[in-house]
Amino acid sequence: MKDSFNPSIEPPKKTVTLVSSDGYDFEVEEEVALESQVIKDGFEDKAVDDREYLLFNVHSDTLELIIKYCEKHVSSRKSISAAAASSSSSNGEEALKEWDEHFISVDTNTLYDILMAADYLNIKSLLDLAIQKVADTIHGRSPEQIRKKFNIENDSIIDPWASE
Amino acid sequence: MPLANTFKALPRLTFSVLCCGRSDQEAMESQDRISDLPDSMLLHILSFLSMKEVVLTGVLSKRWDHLWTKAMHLRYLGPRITTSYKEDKERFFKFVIHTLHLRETNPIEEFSLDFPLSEHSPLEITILSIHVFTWIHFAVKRKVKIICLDFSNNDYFLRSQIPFKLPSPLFSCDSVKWLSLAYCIIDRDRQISWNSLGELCLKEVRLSDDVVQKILSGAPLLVELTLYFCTGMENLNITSRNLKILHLSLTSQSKLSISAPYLRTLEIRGGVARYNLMKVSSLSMVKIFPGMAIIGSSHQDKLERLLQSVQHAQYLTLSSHCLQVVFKLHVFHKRPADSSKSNYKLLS
Repeated sequence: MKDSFNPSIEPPKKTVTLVSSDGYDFEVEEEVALESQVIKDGFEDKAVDDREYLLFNVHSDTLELIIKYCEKHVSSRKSISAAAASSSSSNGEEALKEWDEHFISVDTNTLYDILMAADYLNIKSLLDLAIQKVADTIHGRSPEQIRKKFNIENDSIIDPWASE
Repeated sequence: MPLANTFKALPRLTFSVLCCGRSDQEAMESQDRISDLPDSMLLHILSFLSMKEVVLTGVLSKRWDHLWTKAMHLRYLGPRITTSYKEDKERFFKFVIHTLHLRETNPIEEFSLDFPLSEHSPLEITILSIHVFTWIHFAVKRKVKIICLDFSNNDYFLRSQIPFKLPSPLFSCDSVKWLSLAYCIIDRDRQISWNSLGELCLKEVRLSDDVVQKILSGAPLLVELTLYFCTGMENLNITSRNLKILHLSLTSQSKLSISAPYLRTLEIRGGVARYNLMKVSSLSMVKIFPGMAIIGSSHQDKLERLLQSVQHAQYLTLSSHCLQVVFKLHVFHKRPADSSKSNYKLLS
């Protein structure tokens, strides 16, 4: 709990409200929301009491994941730079990579939801992570296996792989 | 609940009905959502794959039919040494020519070639050279930004004794920003023009002091230079103010004197006796990794000399192999008084 008698220790964190497509409010810290380039652009022009964003394309299930990702990245960035300043050795970046790996290990549908949301909100690192995951799924698979994996219906007239 | 919030909730209800997120989970399970992605995103996905995999997506469905011809990252993996190597090589040449041809004038972001070089007859080398010439020419004309040519072969018994001689179109490429070359030769009479180049990585490249100077003057915007196991250098004289980061790893026979007054970051690997630091007054970060080489008493002087020439650096990273030497030498006590803000990092 913060000490309410001595506000000079740490001012209360500014927050932003994100509203999912299905109508749920998510109150997040300003710096977490600013991970999204879309929110960052023109953020200063918005009045302080009007920092609310209606995210028409992001379902609450996905938004929850996105916020989790942004919070993790904001906090580990802080701890990495703190470690660098005190020159204590840290494996922060590797730990974050591992965390990312675990985070993106989701089913295909959730992966698309994250992909679309990261694109819509313009969160570059998350978009790259999701796209890399899709690429990894294609990597080393035959066309037939890829079709199966992604439910792609083969509507080509000639399919040279059909006989295999 | 404040009244304002109740009102605010109303429009949300409306759009939550309009933009229902995913009402029918099961229907989506069997839906092809990847094909609904915009071209730009699918091309982004393709940029992580090798060219063979990229081309294979062309048969998935009509949606994917011509998409691969717009792929901007062309990564070609050459044939590996197997019993069918000769046929594989022919097939590979045809594959590269056809795929480049079918792309027509679409821009190229990256051209990468990984071709493990094995013993070839002079005729075979000529044929390979002509092919590579054509491909590089093609990529350079389309303003390629990333070029990566790797001819190294991990199998030392099968590898060719002579590295690959790089074709001339590569040396006049003002669009390339990132260049990586491995196991090749740069002709000493080449004129080099790499006016956009920011990062250069050379591994096992035959160089000479002249060639390095030509590279440095031909790439005025170069920021980061990596030289791993390159041969033929004795003096490295960097006068560019742009070049800030240098990674070095020398072969066991070579020795290198380095003069780089504006360099900020230096990372050196392998035996410290091989390096002689002359003018490095701007260095702020130094990393030293002697590797598995045991630091005997003869090396202590060398390491001391090296550490003294970088004593103004703010950050110093040493591998644990240096530890005993550092403690014996008391290098830290010899540091000037203003070094209190310096940071040391010891890796174990």
